[in-house]
Amino acid sequence: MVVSDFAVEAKNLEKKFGAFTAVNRINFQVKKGEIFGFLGPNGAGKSTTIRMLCGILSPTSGEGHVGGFDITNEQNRIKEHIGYMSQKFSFYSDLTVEENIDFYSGVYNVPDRKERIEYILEKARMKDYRNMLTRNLSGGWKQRLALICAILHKPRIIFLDEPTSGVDPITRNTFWGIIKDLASRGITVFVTTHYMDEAENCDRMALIYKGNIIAMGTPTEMKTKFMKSDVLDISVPDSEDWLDKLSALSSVKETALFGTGIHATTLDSKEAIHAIEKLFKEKDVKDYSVKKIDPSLEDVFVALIEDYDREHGG
Amino acid sequence: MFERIKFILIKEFLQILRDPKMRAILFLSPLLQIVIYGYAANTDIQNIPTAAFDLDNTKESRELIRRFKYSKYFNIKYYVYDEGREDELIDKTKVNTVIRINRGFGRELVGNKSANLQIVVDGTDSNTANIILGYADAIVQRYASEAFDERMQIYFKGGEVAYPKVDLRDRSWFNVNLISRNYYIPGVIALTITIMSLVLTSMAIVREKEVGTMEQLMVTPISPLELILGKLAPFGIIAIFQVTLLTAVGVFWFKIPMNGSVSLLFIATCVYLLTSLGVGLFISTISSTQQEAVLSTFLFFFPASLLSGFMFPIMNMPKVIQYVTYLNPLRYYIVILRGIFLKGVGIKILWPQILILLIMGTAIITLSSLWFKKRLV
Repeated sequence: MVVSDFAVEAKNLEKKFGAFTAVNRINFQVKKGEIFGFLGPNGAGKSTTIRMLCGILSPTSGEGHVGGFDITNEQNRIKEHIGYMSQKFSFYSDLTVEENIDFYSGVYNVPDRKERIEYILEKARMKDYRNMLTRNLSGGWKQRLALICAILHKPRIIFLDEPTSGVDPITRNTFWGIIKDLASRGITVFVTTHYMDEAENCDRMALIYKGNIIAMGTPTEMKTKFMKSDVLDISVPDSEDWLDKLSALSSVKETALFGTGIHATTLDSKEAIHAIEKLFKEKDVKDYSVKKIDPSLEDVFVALIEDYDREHGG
Repeated sequence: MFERIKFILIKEFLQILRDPKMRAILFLSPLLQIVIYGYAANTDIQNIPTAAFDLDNTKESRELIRRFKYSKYFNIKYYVYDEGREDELIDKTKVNTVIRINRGFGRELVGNKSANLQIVVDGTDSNTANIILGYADAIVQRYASEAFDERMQIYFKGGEVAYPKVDLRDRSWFNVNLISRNYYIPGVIALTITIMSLVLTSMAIVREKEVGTMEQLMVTPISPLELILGKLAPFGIIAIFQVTLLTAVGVFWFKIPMNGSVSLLFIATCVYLLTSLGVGLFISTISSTQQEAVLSTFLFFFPASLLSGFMFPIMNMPKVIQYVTYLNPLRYYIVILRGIFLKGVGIKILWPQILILLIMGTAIITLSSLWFKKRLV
C-alpha cells in the first residue's frame, strides 16, 4: 500500500486481447472525493479499464493503484474497499430485494448487518419493496437497488459502469443527485457513461477513444482548452438539405445536425457567419438565424473524436 | 471465510427451493426413476408365453409338457396340432417359445433309446432367449435324469443299486431369489445423484455467468475457493438427501435388502460426490450458456452410465473397453452400493474402490478448481 492523495491512478496502463489493444498505455489520476467521469463511445475501452481497476482483469503492462493498493497484486485488498455497479442487472432476479441486500451484506461482512440494512432501505425509500422479487422491480428501482448493493459496506471508492444506461431522463436526474450526495460525503466516484450530457455532472473527466485518453480536465477546461474551434448554431428550414452545402464553405470545418438545427464548427467564427449569411441571402432564404454559442460537451467530444480520426487516418 | 460460504449457501438454497420446477426436478424425478426401475424395468423372466406341439401324445410326452406348464417360467398358452401353426405364433409374437415333441418320443424313451425334442425360441432378444433356453434345459435335464432313475429301478427290479450320478445344487448368493430389482435399485441411486449433481452444479455456475452476477461476485471479497465451496456444497447436500430418500424407498417400499452399513453408504457417497461435483464444476468452466452446460453433461453422463456396469456387465465387454471403465468413477460407486446393499460387505472389502474414488475426486476437484480460477478473470 502506498499513501497517496489520489484515490485512483493509472500509469501507462495497457490491456491487449491478442493483437487488439483495448486500452493503450493510459495515464490519469482521480482525487479523493471527486466525481470522475470516464467517457467515450461504446467499445472505447471504458469497461476494460474499470475491470482492471476493480481487480477482475489483469493488465498486460503498466500499473495502477486504487485506494493505495496495487491493482496487479493487491486485488483482494482493493475489493474490500470498493463498490462496483456493472452495466448489467447484476443481482439475483429470483430473490427479493431484502434477500439480495442480505446476501451482499453478508459477503462484504458488513458489521451490524440488520441495522445497516434497515437504515439503507429506509434511506433509499425501498422499505415497501423489501419483499418484492427483484425481477418485478421497474428499471429505476433496479438501478437504485444495484447502487445500494454497491455501497452497503461503505466503500471509499465506487465504480459505476454505465449506471444510467436504459433509464428514463427523470430517473437519471435522481440518480445523479444520489451520486453527488455520495461524493459530498467524501466518497470517490468513478463513473463511465456514453451520455455526453451527463458529463456536466462530473468534477473532472477523461475522454477515451480507441483505447487512448484524448482529453482530460474539468468541464470548463474541456470546453475551452480542448475546443480550438468555435461552434455556430444555425437554424434554417429544411436543415438537412443544407448540411453539405454549408460544409463546402471554406471557412466551415464540420457540420452536424443538432436537434432541428445545425451545429457547425469553424476556426474563424466571424468569417464563417459572414459566409453563411451571404449564402442564405443568395439563395433567398428568409427564415434563418446564425449565432455563435458556447460549445456543449457533446460538441467538444464530437470535435475531439473527429480530430483524432483525421490525425490517425481513422 | 465460513461466514461468506454460509451466505452463498443460503442464497443457493433460496434460489433452488423457490422455483417450483426445480423442486419437482429435485424430489419427484428421483422418485419417478426408482418407481420405474422398481416396477417396470424387470428383467426377471417368468410366464413365458409358450406353445406346445405334441406330435407324440404319449404318457411320457404329456408328462414333460406338464413339467413345463407347472414350472413358474413357462405359460403354455397354445396347444398346437398343425404343422406351420407354431411358426405363425412366433412370427406374430403370440408366443416366445415352442416345445415340439416328435412322434416316437415316448417309444424311444421306454425302449432305452435316445429320445429327441425341440425347443424353438424367439432370439430377437438374445439375452432373454439365453435365459429361456437355460430354464428349458434345466427342466429337460431333470426329467431325463428322473426317467433314467426310473428305468434303472425297473431294470434292477427294485433292488439296491449304485451308479454314478452328478447332482448340481446351485445357489445364488446375495440375491437368493435372483430378483433383478435388487440389482437395479442401487444402480438407480448412483445414476440419479450423478446426473443431478452434474447438471445442477454446472447450471448454477453458468447461470451466474450468463446473467452477469458472476462479475458482480468477482468484485466482492469472495475468494474463488469460497465461491467454489459455496456453489458445490448445496448440491452435495441435496445429493445426500436424495440418497437418503431413494434408499428409504428402496428398502421400505421395494424391500431390497440392506445388508451393509448405512454409515459406510453415506461416507462412500460423500467421497463419490467429489468426482461428480468436480466434473460439474469443470463443465461450468467450459460452457458459457446453460444449454451448453446441459449438453456437455450428457456427453459425460451417457458413456459413464453405459460403462458403469449398471445395465451391461463389465466382464462381458471387450478387454480394451474394460480398461476404459477403470477411469469411470461411477463404476466404483456402483460396486460399492451393490456391495453394501446386497452383499453386506464393509470397508475391509470395499476400501480399494473408496480409495480410488477419493484419489479421483481429489484430483478432479483440484484441477477443476484451478481451471475455474483461471477462467474467472
